Amino acid sequence: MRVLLIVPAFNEAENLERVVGMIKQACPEYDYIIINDGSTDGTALLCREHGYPMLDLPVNLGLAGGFQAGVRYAELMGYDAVLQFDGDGQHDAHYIRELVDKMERDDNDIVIGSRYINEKKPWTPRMIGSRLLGTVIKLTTGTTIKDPTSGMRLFGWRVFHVFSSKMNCAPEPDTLCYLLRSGAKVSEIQVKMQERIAGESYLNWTRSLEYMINMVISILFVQWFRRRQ
Amino acid sequence: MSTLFRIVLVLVSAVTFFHVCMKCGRAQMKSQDAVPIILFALAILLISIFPRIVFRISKLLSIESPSNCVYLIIIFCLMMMAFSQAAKISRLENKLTLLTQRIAIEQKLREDSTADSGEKEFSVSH
Repeated sequence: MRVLLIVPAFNEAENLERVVGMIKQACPEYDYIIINDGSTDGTALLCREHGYPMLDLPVNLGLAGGFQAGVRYAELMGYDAVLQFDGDGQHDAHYIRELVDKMERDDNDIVIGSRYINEKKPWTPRMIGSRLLGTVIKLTTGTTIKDPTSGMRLFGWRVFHVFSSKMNCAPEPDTLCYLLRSGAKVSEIQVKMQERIAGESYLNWTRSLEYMINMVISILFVQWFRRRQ
Repeated sequence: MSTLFRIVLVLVSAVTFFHVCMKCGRAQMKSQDAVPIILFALAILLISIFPRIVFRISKLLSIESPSNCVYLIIIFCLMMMAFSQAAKISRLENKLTLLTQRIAIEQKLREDSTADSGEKEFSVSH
């Protein structure tokens, strides 16, 4: 299976060398591409100096636009699956083979690297939000997703074209909901993730709250009006 | 608030809510951009079903008519949305400017490198 690791990166010059090193060491058989999302800290220069394959977006599009750019590239190059992999070093590349094996073995459309299958979810504000999202997804689709906000997701060719062709298709829980309701097979495997080492996270208190409200409204209301494929 | 006014509010907010959800669902609008309008429509729906909320607020603010209080809330929400849209337009204009400039610069660099390689061929052949 030809897999492309899509690594969105906004101002991740401090983390990128470590992330790419980990990918090359853990799964050198898979291609990867860095999506430079209009960074201002020399991320693009770093990629050019080290020869990392890169899509250099001239302006910031955000995660949805950046990931979509990667998916469009993957479609053009004929990949069978794409994996969303964070450029901040939180995801562990050693689990990627397991995700791909799971997809091939069980013919899944989506495999999520979940932090909370065997481990207990803590009661932090972010995880309360995650529990809320999980409940809303279960209510609307009947499927239990233990880690709906995990950013480590493998999408098979049957579903990834949705990201490149439609508006409202960010790699987020509401799109997962839409894909589930369209009949996609989703499964999760246990992975471990790390805390961010360097750089600044996009999510602060207000943004996290805004994100949760957006997701809940999108899943509860907007998704009912989407044409299923 | 008269009963007719409340009925009109319920109908209009319900229709707005469904219309916006449908537009997002049919991929004619981003969900993210529609959330303020959806929340606004839900708030108006809530106020029209439970007018006591408005009665309390208008008493607190010494507004004689609760209908005027509803108008005030709606106007305030619209102002916030207009402000947020103005900020978004500014950011989009900035991105458009940047992209246009970048296209022009890259075109110039391409032309310069084509001219250079053309001159080199000319000087080599002569």
